[in-house]
Amino acid sequence: MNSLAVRARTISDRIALAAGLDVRLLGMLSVMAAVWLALHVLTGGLFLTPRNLFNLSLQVSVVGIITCGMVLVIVSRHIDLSVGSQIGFIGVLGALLQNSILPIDGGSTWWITSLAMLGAGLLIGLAQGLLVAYAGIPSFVVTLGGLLFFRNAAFYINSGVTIAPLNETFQLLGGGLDGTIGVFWSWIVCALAIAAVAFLVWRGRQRRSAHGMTRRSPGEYALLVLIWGLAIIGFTAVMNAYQQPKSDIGMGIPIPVLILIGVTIIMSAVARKHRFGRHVFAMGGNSESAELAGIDTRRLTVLVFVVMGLLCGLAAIVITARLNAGASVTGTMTELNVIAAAVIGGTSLAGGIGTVYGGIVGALIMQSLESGMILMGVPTPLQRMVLALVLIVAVWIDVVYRRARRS
Amino acid sequence: MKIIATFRNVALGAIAVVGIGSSIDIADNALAAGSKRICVSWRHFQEERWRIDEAGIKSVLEPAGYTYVSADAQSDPQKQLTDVESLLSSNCDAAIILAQDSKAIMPAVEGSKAAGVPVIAYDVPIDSADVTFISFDNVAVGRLMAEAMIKVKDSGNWVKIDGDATMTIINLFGAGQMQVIQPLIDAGKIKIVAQQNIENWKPDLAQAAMEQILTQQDNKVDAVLAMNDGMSTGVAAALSAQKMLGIPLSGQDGDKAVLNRIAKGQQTVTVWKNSYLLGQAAAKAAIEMAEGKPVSGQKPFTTESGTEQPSMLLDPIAITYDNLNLVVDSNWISKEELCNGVTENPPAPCK
Amino acid sequence: MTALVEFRDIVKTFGGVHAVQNVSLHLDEGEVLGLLGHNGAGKSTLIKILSGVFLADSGEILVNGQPAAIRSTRDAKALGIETIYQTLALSENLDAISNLFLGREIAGPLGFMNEEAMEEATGRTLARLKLRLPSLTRLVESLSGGQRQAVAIARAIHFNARVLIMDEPTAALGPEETQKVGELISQLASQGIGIILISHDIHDIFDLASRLAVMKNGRLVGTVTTSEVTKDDVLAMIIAGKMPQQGRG
Repeated sequence: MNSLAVRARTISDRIALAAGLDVRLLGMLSVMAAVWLALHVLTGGLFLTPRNLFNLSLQVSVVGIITCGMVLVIVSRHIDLSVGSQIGFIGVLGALLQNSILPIDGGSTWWITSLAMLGAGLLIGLAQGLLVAYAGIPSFVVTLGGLLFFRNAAFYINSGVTIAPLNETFQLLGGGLDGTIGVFWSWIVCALAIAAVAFLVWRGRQRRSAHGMTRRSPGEYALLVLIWGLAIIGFTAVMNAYQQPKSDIGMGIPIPVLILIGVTIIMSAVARKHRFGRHVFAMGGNSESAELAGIDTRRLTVLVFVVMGLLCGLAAIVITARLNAGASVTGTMTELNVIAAAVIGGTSLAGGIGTVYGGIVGALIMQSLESGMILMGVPTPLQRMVLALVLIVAVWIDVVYRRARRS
Repeated sequence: MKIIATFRNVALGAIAVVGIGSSIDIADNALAAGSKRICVSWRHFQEERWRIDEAGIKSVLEPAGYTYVSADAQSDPQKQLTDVESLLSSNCDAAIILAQDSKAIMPAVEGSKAAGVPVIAYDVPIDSADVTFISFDNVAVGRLMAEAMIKVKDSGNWVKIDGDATMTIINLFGAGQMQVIQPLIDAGKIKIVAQQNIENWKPDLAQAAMEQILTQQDNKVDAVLAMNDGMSTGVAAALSAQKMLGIPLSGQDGDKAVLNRIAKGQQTVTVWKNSYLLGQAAAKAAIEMAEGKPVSGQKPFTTESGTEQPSMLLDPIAITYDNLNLVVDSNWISKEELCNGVTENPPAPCK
Repeated sequence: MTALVEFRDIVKTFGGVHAVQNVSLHLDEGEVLGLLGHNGAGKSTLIKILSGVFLADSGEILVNGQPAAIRSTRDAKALGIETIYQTLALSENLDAISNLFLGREIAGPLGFMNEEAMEEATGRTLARLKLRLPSLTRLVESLSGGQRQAVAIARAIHFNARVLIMDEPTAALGPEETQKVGELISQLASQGIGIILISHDIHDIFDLASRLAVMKNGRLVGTVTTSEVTKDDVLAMIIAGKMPQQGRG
């Protein structure tokens, strides 16, 4: 084999190890960095500005939240085509609830509505999960039915009328002028995040020595914390650098972005470090082995869809609050964006393989391209064509990469 | 085991029924030959507006003793062809077609001609001499929208948020807009600094597009010409995040949420088409055609390809802050809905 | 001496097929019992009843003299009955550690796993069995057949198995690996673990098992002590269902 390729592999392996990431994720982050740089140049210096990055983080939040759930669904060798229709339906439901049933300026309207929307997602996920797991209907069929059913339901329950405006507190959940936590609290979150990283690294080190396993050198641990710390500080600084229009008050981290980060961390931890996630991967890789190991694969499948539905409810809250309106057409085609993000992120449609972080980076790459192209004034149909090509190329590279890794 | 299999079959059947059944809606009546029947093919009935058109149609058909039969193509041009075939086989005296795709619908038009059933092209143009085009003057829609906008601001940096690029009707709206705007562009007063087509007219996509445009233009935007109300809602959200809500903003369809924004001074205009009246006009024309009479009040209309077809073009109305009483008086929107949350500077109907 | 495992009059029918008909058999501590027969003889079904995959229609199973209710694979494992399946039943997209602990992960109260503890335990068990793997954290799909079997064996042994069922253990192995497996089986038996070997290859089984049970068409033809019969005798049992004549060997 070409020695340059071998050396490159080892270098990338070492960088990945230093940062605590797997090599593929590192590759994706490099691609994202390259895309960002290219877009920055092509947009005449507009892309890598606090304002645009702030907007980008908001724009990716809805797809990102859903992708976290979709990765697990696809890993378990199923698919959920109904997610776009779910957020359309749940969004209109929530808008109806706060506009027609609850007092629009009631103090508890926002959390009652939010709970109802989460509950709706949970129930939809439960229904679909039960049909897939216990009635044995392929998930493609069940969720295709869900796509049709809930898209039409989204028009039916409000006669297609767009419902606006919404409760003011509820709107905060979608970002907007007041929908951030402000500079001060952003730094607090940043500090807490770095402390959490340091703690986890330390605990990992303790555990490894407790079990007599090889550890990194103290220098390597420090480097790990440093890399993550810099990334977190950098992110927070960018969010704080974006100032409220017509003032010099920094905005800080938007609430939907906090929600996205929280969901990403939780879902990634569940996928990699929790029994539930481990069993999902086992089931996706070889469901017979999972059964023989004593795993109730049917109950597990239901849970996977319940989690997906819950995340759809959460995404519906964010998109409806952000738009400040419940519109029946919202979410159309979103399932395709989500699946594309997951697949670009390394999730295999054959099941058993995939990462949550990869899916988020996939979503970021797609959204960056889309938003960047609008900054460049590219006509819409051309944008769509470019994104389609990117998806194909990304998966192609992934196939080649996996083959090379194996040999 | 068997229970689960049965359940599964029932569930599969239910999914099939919901999918199919949600689109064909044949009124309960006998398919007797010679019974007076008007067939309507909707392109996507579930959108906000068409219920009102349907109510208008029925309000003329029912007293005249005609039966109303319809089908919903759910935005699928292929499905619409099948819909029209099914409707024709139920013996229509006249057909009203709201085309999803003006070109793809041609086989359905030819089929109707072969069956001897006169066709009305409803709201969306069909390029054929064999149909009667009944619509709002869609060019006038664009024109009225732009006129209302320049009354408020006739210079500066303008942004165009246009509808789905695959729908040809946007060309008519655009032509009307340009009739008004182009002279100002030529005179150097207005500059179109950005233009984006929004896939599926989706409000959330319009919001993201507007965010990017505002970034690109560093907020130096003076007016936004949005082609419909749904997208204007997304634009409003993006403007709001930049404390720019209140700059001239247009829309179309008379959405209740938008009328409310106009009352609050957050949007300039929505072009309202009283589609109830359009439905009535189409029903009236359909009855005349069914009885073999010429359509009263029709004027010749030249299509894109230069073909002449009979037409009836109703005039839309631009609803702005000053004439909100029109939508209240016609019961399109209630006073409560219009004035909800209007605190300062209320328009006439809210006083 | 009480048998480690005893099958009493086990019956299992699938549809109209009598997979297992009134089979009674026992396994002693430290014994290696070979279970032979054609495909469809009922060996796999009998074993799956013991390992909790199937529930017998009638009959009972006793473990250490006590009647045992084995309704799931978990029940079987709780009784110390472990199985190494012919296909190994490993999830190839997971590593050796995950496979070993699948379904029995070491986890905290919230369900988050202690991966370091599991890695250490996996290493120890493999070392105890003198099995070697290039890396514990590589995905199983990148391991060789022999290495995968090592994982499957380690999984079966790690949780203090008292009974080990091995279904066609040497089928996919070369001569060197077969020998290693044989040594392992002897080592385990000497620790008091009762082992049931299923195979249709007489030659391998003959060297490993101290007793042989032959099934044909769902019935137990009979059991013989390996040292008292020849391979031809056993063949006759398998093919013709005939017990060897007394007083031979």
